[in-house]
Amino acid sequence: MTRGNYAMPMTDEKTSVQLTEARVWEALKDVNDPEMPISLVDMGMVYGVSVDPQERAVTVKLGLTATACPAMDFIREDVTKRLCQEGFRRVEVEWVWDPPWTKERISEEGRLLLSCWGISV
Amino acid sequence: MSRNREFSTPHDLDEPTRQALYDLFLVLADTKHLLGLRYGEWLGAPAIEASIASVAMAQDEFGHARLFYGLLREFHEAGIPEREEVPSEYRNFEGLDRVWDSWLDFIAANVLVDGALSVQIESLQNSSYVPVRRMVAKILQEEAFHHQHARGWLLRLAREGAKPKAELEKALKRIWEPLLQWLGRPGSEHERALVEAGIQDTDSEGLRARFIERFGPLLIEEAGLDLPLSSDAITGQWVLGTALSWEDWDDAFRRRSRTGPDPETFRQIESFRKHEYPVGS
Repeated sequence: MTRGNYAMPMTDEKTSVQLTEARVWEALKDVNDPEMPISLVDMGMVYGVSVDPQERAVTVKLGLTATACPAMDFIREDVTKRLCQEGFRRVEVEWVWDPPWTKERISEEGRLLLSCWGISV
Repeated sequence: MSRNREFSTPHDLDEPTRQALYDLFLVLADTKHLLGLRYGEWLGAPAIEASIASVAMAQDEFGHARLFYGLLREFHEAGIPEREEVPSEYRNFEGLDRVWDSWLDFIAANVLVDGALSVQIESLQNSSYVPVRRMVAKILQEEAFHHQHARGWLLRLAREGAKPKAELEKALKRIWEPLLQWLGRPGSEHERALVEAGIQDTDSEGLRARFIERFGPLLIEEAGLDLPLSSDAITGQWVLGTALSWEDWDDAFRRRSRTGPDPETFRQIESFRKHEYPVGS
């Protein structure tokens, strides 16, 4: 690994992998919707990700399927835990309602998985 | 009207507008909270489908209440004191103060109260207050199903025979006047502040006109109910046959009296008292 005295993206000391947005998206594929057997990414609930490598901080914009979602805190916790494993020090979850989540946001992969579980969308 | 101005926090608003918006959000939060509570009491509704629907709608209302209570937090940070947790400080629509006597009261509220709430919330669709504008679409998406449910049951009951129809009319009339008033008093400082700041897209008369344009055709033409509402033979415009009396009306609470929910209801609410409503915008 090269380090110069010019600005370099921060890296995770343990794995030497850069803290990038792509990596956050990848990690979020491991976090399932607590009520559905597919990931937040496949559910189309991830509205955006922004990374500050210097601060090792990440903000994740999530859209919930319903305003009365009882799993809000679980989702926040699961996302935070998973991203801390990636080497982030600060994880912020922002709830987004606009545009509203609809089932059209579920990915092809997600639809296939859901149909295997007997859920039609 | 200030079309281009946008407000991201209560700090951006002048004092009268901040207070008016706080009052609106608390009225919406308390009304949705109490509506959710009332809907939820009908787990034993007349049919299994109706039971499921009432509980699903209750859940939506709690979700919306959570969003509006969440919006209030920044107003408290901006110096508006938190309200005291006593019944007389609650700002729910007065038709929700006590438990409903019958399924007809449920449907009457489902049509009128949920309908008026949606008309009020729709007026915030292009609001200059960004945090609320961002949640309107989601709320209305969920409300579309409430309206379908209300409409289906209203027509079913109205066509079931003379007795249920008459009972339904009675239930609608019980909340008719306070509900129409709930949309606001013409000329109040509250509505002036909200309209001038571009927070709400029309005044109380505009809201009432939208409400009767939407519900006139359903209540009068489709359901054939006898209510003080008719369409003008020439213009086709819907006209209210009720003169609203504003004596004792409280603009901040949108009620005729600050009595709040009855003791039994308040005991239920109290259990939410220390509840945190985690929410973001």
